[in-house]
Amino acid sequence: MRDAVNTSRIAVEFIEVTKKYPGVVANNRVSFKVYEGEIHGLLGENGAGKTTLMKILYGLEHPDEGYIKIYGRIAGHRSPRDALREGIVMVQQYPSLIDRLTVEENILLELLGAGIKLGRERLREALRRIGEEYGLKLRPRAYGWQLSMGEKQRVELAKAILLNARILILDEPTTILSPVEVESLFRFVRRVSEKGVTVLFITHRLREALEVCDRITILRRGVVVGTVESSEATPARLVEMMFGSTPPQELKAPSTGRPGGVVLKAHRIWVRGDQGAWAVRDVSLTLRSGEIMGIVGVSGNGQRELAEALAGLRRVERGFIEVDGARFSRGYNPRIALNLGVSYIPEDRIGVGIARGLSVAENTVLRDLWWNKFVRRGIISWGRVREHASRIISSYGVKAPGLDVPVESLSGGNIQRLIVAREIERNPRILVAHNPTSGLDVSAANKIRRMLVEMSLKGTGIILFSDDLDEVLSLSSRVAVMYAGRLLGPLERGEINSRRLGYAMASGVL
Amino acid sequence: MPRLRVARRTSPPSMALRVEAFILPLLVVFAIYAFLLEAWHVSVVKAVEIIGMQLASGDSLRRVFMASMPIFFPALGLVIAFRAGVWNIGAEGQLLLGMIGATWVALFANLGVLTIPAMVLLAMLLGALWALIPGLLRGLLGVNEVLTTLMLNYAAAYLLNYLVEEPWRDPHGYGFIKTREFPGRAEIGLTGIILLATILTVAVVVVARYMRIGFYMQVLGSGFKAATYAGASPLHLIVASMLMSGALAGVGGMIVVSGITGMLMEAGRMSPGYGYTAIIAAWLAGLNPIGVILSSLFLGLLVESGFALQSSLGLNVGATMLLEGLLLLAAAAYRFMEEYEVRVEP
Repeated sequence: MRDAVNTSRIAVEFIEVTKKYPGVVANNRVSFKVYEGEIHGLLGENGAGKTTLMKILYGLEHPDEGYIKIYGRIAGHRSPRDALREGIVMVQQYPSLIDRLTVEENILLELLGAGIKLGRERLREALRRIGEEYGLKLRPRAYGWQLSMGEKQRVELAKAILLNARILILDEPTTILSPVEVESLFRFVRRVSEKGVTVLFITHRLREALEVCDRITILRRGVVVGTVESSEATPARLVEMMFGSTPPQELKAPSTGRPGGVVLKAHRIWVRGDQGAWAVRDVSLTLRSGEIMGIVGVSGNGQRELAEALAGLRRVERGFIEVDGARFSRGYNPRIALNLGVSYIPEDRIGVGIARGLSVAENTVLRDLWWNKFVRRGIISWGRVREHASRIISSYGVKAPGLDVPVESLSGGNIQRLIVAREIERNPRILVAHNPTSGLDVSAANKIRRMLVEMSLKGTGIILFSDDLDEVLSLSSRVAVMYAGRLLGPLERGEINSRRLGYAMASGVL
Repeated sequence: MPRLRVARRTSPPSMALRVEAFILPLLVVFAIYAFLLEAWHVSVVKAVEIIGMQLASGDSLRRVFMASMPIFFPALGLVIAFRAGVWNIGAEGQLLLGMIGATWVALFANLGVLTIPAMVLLAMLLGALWALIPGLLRGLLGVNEVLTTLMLNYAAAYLLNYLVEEPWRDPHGYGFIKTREFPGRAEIGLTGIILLATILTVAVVVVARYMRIGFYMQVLGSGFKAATYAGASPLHLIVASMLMSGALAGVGGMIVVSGITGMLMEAGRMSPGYGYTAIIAAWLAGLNPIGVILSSLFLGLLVESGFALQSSLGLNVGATMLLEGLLLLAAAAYRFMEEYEVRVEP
């Protein structure tokens, strides 16, 4: 290990930390130690419990059992403000500044909140010094809205120094950075650790963990699988720890007959994320009727943006999309997609998938009033809508106290069923489904999986984006991996197993 | 220490709770107002008596009705805009533009029996165009419509003042700043107003409840992304809801010139802020087009009573506006209680 790591002093120690949420154990008796000055990686796939654990350390969540020791003392902090007193600072994955204030003002405000009073002149001086010492390029007088995500992160890092952080938590810090910025982040991290700051580095990217961390703790389903020294670890071993050493699961998709003609095609498309950075980079794919194509990846690698682009919700900046032979390099939108037979089950069911203020019945036809099925001479037939709604509710097992209650009063699982039902009932030629079974119990999830298979047998082409590797493996005839905005593969049947996909998800190499 | 905890309701409130949440804030408002009246040395009993008198005779009832109509039509339009989440604060300016349009027809076009329909149409057109500006700015560029609509209210008032002071001013009006009085064919009667109100209420109900556009406007009101996902164009919906609410505000202006004053004077004398009171009427009605009839009549009663209280008990003009403001708070409290529950935690 590097000289910066002081193995004689333990900065953070997790002792039997357990955190339960309804239906999930996010952290199960987590115990490990982090040395002073160490860069300690926290590796695991989605839902492994990394972020929950760090939120506990940061005081945002409280453990149900177990405790944390900071420099040997049991930590009693209950909030981020308390955590700050212990010298714990967390930089969020998507840092946010107040748009209308300058960088300086944003920092001053935060320092004031922490009880540190600093004049503008002294702050400027301090920022200059930090810039030189740590290689952080800052624009103190720029406004929040003028900053890129990478710059915002650098402001957060500078702030951490000014707040005298002893323990710095970085949550997936590289997802918003360009490759060059990643290099300078790594230089920063090494530099602060040389000054005695302990860094906890959350990531799902193997290469980065191996490159920058001294040791790596791997979490799987809330449990610590082990802590390894980076110098002794290999990518293959880490993948095995992340995804388990169970015999690699083979594709067991039911025979879907011979896939038919191409129904959906994306050709070298580029799509921007909400923050304006490229989220989908040069992706091409082809979907045939009657096939289920799986797309896996750690979330945040561009899956949502790709799904939205295919459904018309997000503009394709370069390249084109072809639906049933109609080519769109621009002008593609959700309405056109619907008319061409593209259904879409969005990942964000509350924010996108439903109209929150409207009733259950209204939401069952949210995207279906464009045709004359429910509208006669421009007048909506609520009678027909209600018939349709009650049929959907009974045949898909949506538990709702009535057709006219606000859809928001339904549980998450029932909202998900309603959305899935609505999108399937349309008999689409193409279905873009993003985590269609998330939040459902096993039997409900299996029912939806069977429906997807039946649809594909009837000729619907399905693109299945899913965080559930087993789901994808059990349904798809081809699987591609998304990593940092690029699509790897797809792999054909017979080439696929869970270990290979897991490795690709974590390393970007298929 | 016990803490108040506010949480989103997990199930919709019962009818009884709804009634409670509606009545309770109103009672609090009236109690506060009664207290203030006493503090101003105005007898609450007398004030209630005077308000009651407004309902006693046919003549005063008619006045209450007439005072409520310039609130009613804009409020009807605001129901559409607010349901779509388009915060049109510019009904006042759109109403003034309606006055301008109606006045132009009344003074300069001789259309015989078609005069009143033409006044209504031009009032709607100008009101809609005035609302189109902030609508396009919001839809195309994302400019906050609260600011633009509010600022255009002042622009509308100055435009109207210019017209009555310069080109349209009555040369024989002695010192008064006003236009000529309207000819008889340009004065709308009670029947005409009721007919117009009925037609437009039905139209708004049909649009809001039975037409695609109304449905998708409501979807837009619950979220921009949901509306896009539903296949609708937020731009079209924003512009359409602005146009509709602007047109209906314009009708309110037409009612003022054609039914109440019979001429155009300076903006400050034409409207005591009907377009702002309409915002309260829309919310008090829970954004329900039928409910707007009741809330407008109620606010019309308050406005008329306010005039009576001013002359008989010497109450300040601001006192009525204060009550209207308190009522808006009551409406806001009701909306809040519908969506959230407040619990006391030890």
